[in-house]
Amino acid sequence: MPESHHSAFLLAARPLLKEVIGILSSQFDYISVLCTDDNGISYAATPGETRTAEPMWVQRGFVFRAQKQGKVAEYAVSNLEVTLGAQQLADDIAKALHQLLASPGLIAYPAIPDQALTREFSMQAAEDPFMAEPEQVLSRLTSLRETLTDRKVIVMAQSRYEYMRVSRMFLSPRRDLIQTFPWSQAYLFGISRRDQLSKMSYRSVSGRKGLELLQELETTVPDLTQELHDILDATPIEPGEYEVILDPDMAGTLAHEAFGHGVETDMFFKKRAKATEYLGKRVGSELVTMYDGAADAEQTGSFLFDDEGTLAHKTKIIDHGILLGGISDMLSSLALHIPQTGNGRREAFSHKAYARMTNTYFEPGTATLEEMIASVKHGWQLSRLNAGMEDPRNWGIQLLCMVGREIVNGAFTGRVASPIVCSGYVPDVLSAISMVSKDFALSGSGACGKGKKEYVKVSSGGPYVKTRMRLG
Amino acid sequence: MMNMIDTILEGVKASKIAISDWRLVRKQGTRKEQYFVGSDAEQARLVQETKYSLTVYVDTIDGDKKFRGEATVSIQPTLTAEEVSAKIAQAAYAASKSRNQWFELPGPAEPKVSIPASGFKALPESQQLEEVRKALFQAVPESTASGPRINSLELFLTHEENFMLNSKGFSHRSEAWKGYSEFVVDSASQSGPVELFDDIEFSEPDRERLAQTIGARLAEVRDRAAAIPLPNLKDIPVILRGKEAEQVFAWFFHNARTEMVFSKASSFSVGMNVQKNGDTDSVLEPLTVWAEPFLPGLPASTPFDSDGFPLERTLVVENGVLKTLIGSVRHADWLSVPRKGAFPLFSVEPGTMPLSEMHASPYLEPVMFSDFRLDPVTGSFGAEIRLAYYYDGIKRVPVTGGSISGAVPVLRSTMRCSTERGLATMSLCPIAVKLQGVSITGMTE
Repeated sequence: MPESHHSAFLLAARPLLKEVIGILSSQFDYISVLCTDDNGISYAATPGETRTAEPMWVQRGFVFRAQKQGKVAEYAVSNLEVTLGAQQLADDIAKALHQLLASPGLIAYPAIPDQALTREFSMQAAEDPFMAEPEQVLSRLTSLRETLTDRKVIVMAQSRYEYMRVSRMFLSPRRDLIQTFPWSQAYLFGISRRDQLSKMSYRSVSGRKGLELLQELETTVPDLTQELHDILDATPIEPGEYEVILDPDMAGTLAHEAFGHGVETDMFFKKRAKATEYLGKRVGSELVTMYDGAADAEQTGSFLFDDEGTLAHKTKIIDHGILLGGISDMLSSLALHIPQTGNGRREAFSHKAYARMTNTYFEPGTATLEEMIASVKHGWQLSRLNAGMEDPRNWGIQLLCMVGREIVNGAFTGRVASPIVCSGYVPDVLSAISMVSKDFALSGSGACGKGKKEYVKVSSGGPYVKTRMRLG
Repeated sequence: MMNMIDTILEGVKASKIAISDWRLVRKQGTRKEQYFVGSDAEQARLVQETKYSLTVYVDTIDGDKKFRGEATVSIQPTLTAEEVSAKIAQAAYAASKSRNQWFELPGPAEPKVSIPASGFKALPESQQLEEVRKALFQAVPESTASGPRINSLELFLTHEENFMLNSKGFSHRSEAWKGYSEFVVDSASQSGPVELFDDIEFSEPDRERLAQTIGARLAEVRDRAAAIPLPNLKDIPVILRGKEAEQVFAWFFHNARTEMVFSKASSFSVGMNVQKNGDTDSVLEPLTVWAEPFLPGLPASTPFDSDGFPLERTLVVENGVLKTLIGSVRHADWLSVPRKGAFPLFSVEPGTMPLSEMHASPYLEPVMFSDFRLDPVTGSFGAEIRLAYYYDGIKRVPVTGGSISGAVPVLRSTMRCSTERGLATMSLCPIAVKLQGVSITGMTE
C-alpha cells in the first residue's frame, strides 16, 4: 500500500460526512459533498522587500449538492459544527437544501448518476516548500530579481514563487474519492525604461512540482535580460494580416480560446456556442488536432477527478481539422445527453461548478521551427503571451503578446514589436495553419476565467504553429 | 469554549518567536446566487463562508538598524487550536527571515468618512436579490422572435460583516453589501445570432443604474447584428467609453501609488506634470484626479485601508500635476512622504468636451471589446473590437472585428475628456475619453 499524503482534516472528516450523506440520501434523489483542504505558500521578492504569504487558492470547506425531482441546489459552507453530530448536521444541511430547491423557476435535469467508485491519488513534490528554509527561498528570489535589474535599462524586477498542495475528497452514497497533488509556479518580471517609455516582459515556469521549479526559472535570466533591452527599441507594427509563428504558449492559448471555451458544453446548453453547428464538420486545416484533458498530461490542469466526482478524461476535440465534440460539466452533459468528460471544475468549494478546460493543446506535427521560420515571406514570430479572450458565439479571437520578432524572406530582421494585438476569425485562423512543429511544451502558470471570474488552474501549449492573423 | 479570534490571539501570544505586531481580519459572508438561462433558473445556491487572515510582523535589529519582516496566513474556521498554533509558528518563522525596512502599523483612529448603510439593509431578506433581478429583467424590451433578449445572467449578492483589528489597538467593524452580475444579451442577425457580454458591480438596489447598464447592451447587441467589418482607418480619433475610459484614467491613479513609485515601476514624482511627454509638450486637457474612500453605489467603498489607516478624500493630480502620492503606509514611510493610505476608488473631474462635440467630427467609438487590457505599468493597451461605431462625418455605422492598440504615455497630452461623468467599476469619471493617434487594425486589406 503506497504511503498516503492525504489531508488529515479530510481523512478525519470522512466518517462523519459519510454518515451525514447516508442520512441525507433518504431525503433527496441525489446527494454528494465535495470537501477541500488546499494548502499553499507563496514567496515574493520586490525591490526593498521580501514577503511570505499564501496563494489565493488556499481554501477549506464543503459544498453539498442535492437533486430532487430533477432540480438541483448547492449549499456551500466553510464550517461544519462537528460536535452537533451527524443527525443534527444532516438536518441543518437538509433544511438549507430544501429551501433552495423551493426556489421558483428551477430547471429539472435528468437524474445525476452515482455509479459506485472508490479511488485515490496521492503525489508529492520532490522539494516540499513547506519543509524549506524561508530565508533560502527568499534569498534565491531576491538574487533572481537583483541579477535581472541593472538599474540603467532594467529599472525594476520582481520574482514570485507559489506552491499549492491540493487535497480534495468527494463523497456520495456510492462514491468515495480522494486526491492529493502539488503544483507550483514561479515568475520573474522585469521593466525596462528609456526616458518615460516603459516596457515589460517576464518568464514563468510551472508544473506538478515543488521548489525544484526555481532552477528552471533561474536559467531564464540571460534571455529575459536581452529581451527587455530589445523591446525598448520596439517599433509599432503596421496594422494588417501577416504570417505568424506562435510559440507553444501562444499556440496553446489559441487552442484554449478558439476551441476550448467554444466547446465548454454549458455554452452549448445556453445556446452560446457556434460550435454546435459545426460538430462533425471541418473547422481547421488537416494539421489541426486538439485535445483537452486532466488525464494523460502532467501540468497544473491535471487531476484524478473533477469537482463533481467525475474521473478525468482526455478528450479529442478536433481531429485533423474536424470538430468532434465538447468538454462537459455534469449538468450540461445531463441536459444535452452527451458524455461526461470530467471537466466540472470550481474556483473553490464556495463557487459553482462549470464546464472548464484542464490541459488544452494542439498535437505536434512534423516540421522544425527552423523550417517554419525559413518558410515565412513576411511575418512575425510571436511570444510572451499576455492574455487571450474567446468569443464562443461569434468566433472572434484575441491574443495579446509582449514580443513579436519580424521575419522577412525566411530570416529575422532584428526588428521587434511590443506589445501586439492578434485577432482573427477562428475558422480562418485554424484553416490557415500550414505548419506544425515537432515540439511539445505545456505552460500552466496562468489561470483561466469564465466570464470575468471563476478562476481555475489550467495549462495550454503544444507545438509551434504557423498560421495567419491580423496584427496591430 | 474560545472563539476563533481568541484562539488566534492566544496562538500569537504563545509564539516561540516573539511576534512584534500583528493584524487580523475576519470576513463573514452569506452569498445568494442565481443563474438564469433565459428566464429559467439553472440551479439554486447559497454560500456561507468565514475567513480569517492573520499577518504577523517580526522585528530584528542589526547594529543600529531595525528591520521588520512579515508573513500572512489564512485561518479557516475548521482549524483546531493546534493547527492554528502551527500556522502562526510557520508565519512567525518566515517573518523572522524577512528583513524589510521598519514601519509602524496604524493605531486606533476614528473614520474620516461616514459610509451610509446600503439600501439592501432596509429590504426584507426575501426581496434583496429579487429587486435586482427585476431591475435587470425589466430592461428587456417586449419580446420579439429576433430579440434582443437576455441569453443568460448570473446574479450574486453578498452580505459581508468584517472585523479588522491589530496589535496597536486598532479595531473596526463594518458591514458591506456586494452585488455583482454578469450577463449575455443576444440578438438575431442575417448570419446567425450575435451576443454581447458585460458585468456590473453594485452596492445599492439602484434599479435605474442596473436597468440602464443592461438596457444599453440590449440596444447595442441589435447594432452588432447589423455591424459591418471594421474598415482600415488612419488618423481618426478613437473615443473610449465607460470601463475602458476608466482604465485610461486609472493609469494615472495607479502610477501615483507609493508602492509603484517605491519599486520604480512608476516614474511619477510629486510636482511632475504627468500628462506631458516632454518639456515642450503642451497638454490639451489637464486632468484632476481625486482618491476616494467612498463613492455611492460602488462596493469597494471603505473608511480604512487594509492596514487600518483612515482614508480621507485626497487630491492626487491637479491640472495634470502630481500633488501627492497615495498608497500603502509602509511605502509612504520608506519614501519619506506623508501617509495617505491605499484607496480603493478614485474620481476624475469633468472634462471640457461634451459627448455631442466628440461626436461632431469623424471618430471610431468602440463600445465593446473582447477583453480590453491596459497595462498599469507601461500604459500600453489593446483589444479586439466586438462592437464599435464609425462616423465618417456623414453617417454613423456599427462595425465589428479588427482591433485597436496604443499607449497612454504617448497619447496623454492630447486626450480629451467628456463633460459628462458616470460610475464605472472603481471610479466616478468622464464617461468618454477621445484619443488621437490610436493604431487601428481593420478587417480589410
